[in-house]
Formats: sequence, structure tokens, C-alpha cells
Amino acid sequence: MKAKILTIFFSLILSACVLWAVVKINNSRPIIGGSFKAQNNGHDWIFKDEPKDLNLLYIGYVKCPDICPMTLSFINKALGELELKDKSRVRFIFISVDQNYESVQDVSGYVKQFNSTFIGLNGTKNQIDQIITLFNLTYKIENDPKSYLGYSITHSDRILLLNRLGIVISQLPSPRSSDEILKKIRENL
Amino acid sequence: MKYLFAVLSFFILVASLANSSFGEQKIVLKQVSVDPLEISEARIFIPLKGSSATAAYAKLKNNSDQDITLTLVNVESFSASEIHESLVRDGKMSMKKVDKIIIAAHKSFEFSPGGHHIMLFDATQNILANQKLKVQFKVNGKAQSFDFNALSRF
Repeated sequence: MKAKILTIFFSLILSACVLWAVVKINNSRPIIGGSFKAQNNGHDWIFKDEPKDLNLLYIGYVKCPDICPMTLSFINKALGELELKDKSRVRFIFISVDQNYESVQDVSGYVKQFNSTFIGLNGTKNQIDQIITLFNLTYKIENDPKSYLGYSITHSDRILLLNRLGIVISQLPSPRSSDEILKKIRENL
Repeated sequence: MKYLFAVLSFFILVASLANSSFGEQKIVLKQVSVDPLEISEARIFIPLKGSSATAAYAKLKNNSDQDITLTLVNVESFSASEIHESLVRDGKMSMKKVDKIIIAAHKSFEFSPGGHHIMLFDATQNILANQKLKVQFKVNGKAQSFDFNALSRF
């Protein structure tokens, strides 16, 4: 009798543990992100070498005339409105997915015109593809003979917010204003 | 004296009648010409270092009773120019070339950031802030140029 009670008791505890684990797994978000390596102005740049408390990441290309410069302008405006003590805790990283036509110097010089603290990265196709997979982003380069440029690029349009480990802690899809970016930064600092 | 007054009154009366064409008033209507296509806030962002492309934006208003079909011909100081539309779908950004814009009668249209824009490629000269650049369209098949103001993004 005593053995039966003990068996039922442990069975109940075991069931509760399994149930708790299933609920926990279902509710937890998958971990996206991590450290990565690319090229900055001709040198290797590794995220984990100099992470900030909050790191904003956006992919695009410097020949993009509309959405990308608008996003960079908004991020610059948002960072400019941060309190002085917080400015050095935040960094913006722009990664170009146009490896065939944009040099690392182009990308680095391009973003620094918006803000001298911005990091502009490029790299080999392999490096860029690894970053894209790591952060669950997408891009596609297609021939476009109708356009003077000869190709078009479709890419994810989300600003990712990363912690010091490079893990995505939040994100901001389009459309977004500089005020919304500022609010998101403050929420995550 | 009475005689002089009567003669003067007579001449004044004749002159007034002649002026008023015997009481019929002449109404002259001034015609104010309104351009069928009105453009405002026309601006071109000066290309940034590292990028060979930039964009132009403007507000357009069709003041006429007919729809306007607009095609882009060229932009001064750029090797090529195209009308593009930025699209954000399922969290992805893309651009597509647009051959023409149709503005309905008495309606407005805007080339604006994040939407339709004029994409410009390969500047042929150094462009300075506040420089006026001619943008030539075909408005219902007829060439028409408009001044766009060059602006820095910063």
C-alpha cells in the first residue's frame, strides 16, 4: 500500500516536471544572434571584441537611394537625442549585402557621413551569408536588365537591437520614425 | 458767368456719357493662367561619398480637368534617372522601376521617402547645395522641365 502511494506520488511529481518543461520550452523565444566577423575599412571586425551595452544592426546597401539613407538618418537623429551618459553605450552597425559592387571602404566611408561612430561592414559572400543566417535575416540579389543599375536587391528591413553578446533582444520593423527608434533604444538600455 | 457754367456742364455731361458708352459698363476679365502640372518642394539629395546613387522627391498637383500621364526623360548632371517605388512587404524592402505615373484630374501625387522616388545614377559633376538642376518630364507626351533644388542630407 505504502509502495503504491509512493509510486503515485512520484508519478505526479514527474508529470508536473514534464508539464513545466513543455510550457517553458513553448514560451521561451529562440535565441537569435551572437558574435560575428566581417570587414571594416579593410580590417577584420569582430563583434565580441568591442561590444556596447546596446548594438543596433541593420542590413542594406549604399546604392539604396531611399529606405537605407532614411533609416540611417533616423538612427543618427535618435542617437543625437540620447542623454550624454547613454550615447557611448549605444552603437549602430550597418552591413552591406552588396558584396559584388561595394568595397569595404565605400561602406565604411558612407555610414560615417551620417555619424562618425557608425560602423559600416562588408565582407566576403560567405561572411555576409553567415551573418544573415545568424540573425535570421534575408537578402536576394536579382538581375534587373530594365534598370540602369542592372540588378536589384531585396533585403530584410528591420533594425535589430543586440545585447553585449550579440543576441537579439528586440527589433523594429518598418515604417519607423526617429522617435520610435529613440523610444526603443531607451526601453532596451 | 452763367453762360460759361452751362457750356462747361454740357462738355462734362458729353464726356461722361462717352466714357460710359452711354451707360453700358465694360467689364474686362483678366485671365490668370494656371499650369496644368504644379510642382513644389522639388529636391535632389546630393550623392553621398561611397554611393553612386541618390534620390529626388517632390509634390505634384494636377490642376487640369484631365488625367496627367508623367514619364521621366532625364535629370541634369546625372548619367541616368528612373522612377522607382520602394516596397516593404513581409518585413522585406525592395524597389521596382515604374515607367509612368498617372495623376488623376485635380488630384495630387508625391515622390516621397519610402514610396515613389526618382532614382539618380552617376553624377557627372560635383553638385553643390542649393544648386538648381533641371528635371525633364513628358507631361501627356509633351516635354516640360522643372527646377529641383540640390540639398545635403545633413
